[in-house]
Amino acid sequence: METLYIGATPSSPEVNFDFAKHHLSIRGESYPENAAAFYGEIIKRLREYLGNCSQTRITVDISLAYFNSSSTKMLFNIFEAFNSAVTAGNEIVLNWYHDEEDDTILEFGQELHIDFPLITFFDHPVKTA
Amino acid sequence: MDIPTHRLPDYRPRFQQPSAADLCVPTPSVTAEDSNERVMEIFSKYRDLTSLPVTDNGKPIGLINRGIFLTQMNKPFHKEVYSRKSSIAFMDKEPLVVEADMDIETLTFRAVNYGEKALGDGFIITDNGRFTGIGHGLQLMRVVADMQAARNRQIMHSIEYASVIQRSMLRTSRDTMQHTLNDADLVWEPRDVVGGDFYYFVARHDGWFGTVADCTGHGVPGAFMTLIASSCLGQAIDQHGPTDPSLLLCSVNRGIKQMLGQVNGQDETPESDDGMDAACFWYDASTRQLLFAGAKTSLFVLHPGADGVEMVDGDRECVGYVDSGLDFTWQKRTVQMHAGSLVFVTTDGLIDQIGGPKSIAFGKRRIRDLILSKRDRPCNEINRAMQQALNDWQGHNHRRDDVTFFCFRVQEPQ
Repeated sequence: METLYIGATPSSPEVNFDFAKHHLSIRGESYPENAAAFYGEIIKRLREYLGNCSQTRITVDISLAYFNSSSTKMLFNIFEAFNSAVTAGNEIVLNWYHDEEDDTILEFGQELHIDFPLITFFDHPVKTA
Repeated sequence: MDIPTHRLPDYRPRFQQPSAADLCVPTPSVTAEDSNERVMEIFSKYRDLTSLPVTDNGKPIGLINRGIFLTQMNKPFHKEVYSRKSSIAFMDKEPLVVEADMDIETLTFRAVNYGEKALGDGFIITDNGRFTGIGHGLQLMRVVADMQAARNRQIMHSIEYASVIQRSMLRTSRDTMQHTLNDADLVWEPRDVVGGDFYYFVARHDGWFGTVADCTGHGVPGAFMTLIASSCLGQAIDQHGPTDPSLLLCSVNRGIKQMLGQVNGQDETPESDDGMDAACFWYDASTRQLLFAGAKTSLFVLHPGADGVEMVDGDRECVGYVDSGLDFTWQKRTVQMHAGSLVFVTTDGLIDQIGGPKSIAFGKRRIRDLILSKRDRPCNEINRAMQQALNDWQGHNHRRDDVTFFCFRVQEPQ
């Protein structure tokens, strides 16, 4: 499947889904005016890809410094898709990156871990100068 | 009786969309029969003329650029060779030619695609194919900038008027809050003139009700949501009274879902997936208990003599939205207050604002620290300090979301 790449803008993250390498990443900030429009196609492509995966180890890197509440809804849809992919026999490794002092993003990651226990979750506090 | 409608434009000013005609500057022109000597005369006479059109039976066939022409003519022997020859010798045979009625947007794209030549030399404007004058790049930019400004102005006027309506809606609640509470302060800062945050206060002889809420989105869509959520809440209070915040959140949840058609059959996808986060509370004056129900919102509480700020968390379920249950019940929490207890509640706009040396969220810890350091000050001072701390944190970053926060102190019994 062809890689899905969307460049970052000030209000939307960089999305780099390298389906061939089973490596997906989302980086930046997310508060587009219409989150459903921004994430709609991304989630559609993701579901197609996950539907074709079996016994696959998929690595997901997420590094978001800010996301608004409508983006949160969309992220949950993405994680639900990952959760189902695990039920279907795949392994999802989620690397959750945040600044070591950013408790807000840390807490969100912890909540994700509780809500989606099937996803293998790694918290990565990042040291910055 | 016949109404002479055709005469209307004569006495009533009518606005017309600007077109290429508005940029048209009449200029001298030459024909192919004119010699380069004649071209030289015209360029000498009109010092500001940057380009000279060439026409054939009134139709443009080219454009002579002053710089190129003079360079050519000043080359050795060129004057002798070319002076008597036709003016088409050094003309550009493919200048940009547009009709006078072409709208500015189309013209702008044409000029930009044509390249620097069209903006520097200008472009020929025709009326039914006949040469009428020249338009210049700078003038085009001026018209585009004016149009841009006019469009912005129109949108901003519309939003500013919407803001008058939104503020009027909030006004009653703010007045109630100010008249009921001796030591309290509320900050409401929409990111874009109007916003998705709102508050609601109701006073009764035995206590008072308050809500601070954050609807999906900001700007105009956010403001629409505040009208819906606020009217659902008003109806719920009329129906059930203000003393049970848990019941009120349930009622608003259903109200939003019904109003936005989120309760359709399972395979039907509703168009709206919107809702709100909220803190809803009733303060019982006789028992000094605060009954609190929260949807993704927490209370910061600091009792007199306590070492630190206590967090009273709400539930993680949002109000409204497609995936929240129609019958979900937000837990009612009872917090015993004392004379002097401070309560602070905020929407996520304050907590999540990006800033500081590392461009990360403001976070709850900074809020707790600030409340603690100002614990003996009146609520309006605490909120002013919070606003200042937010602005300092935000620095050169732009505001990410609407911000609303409310602070009050429990009073000694009268």
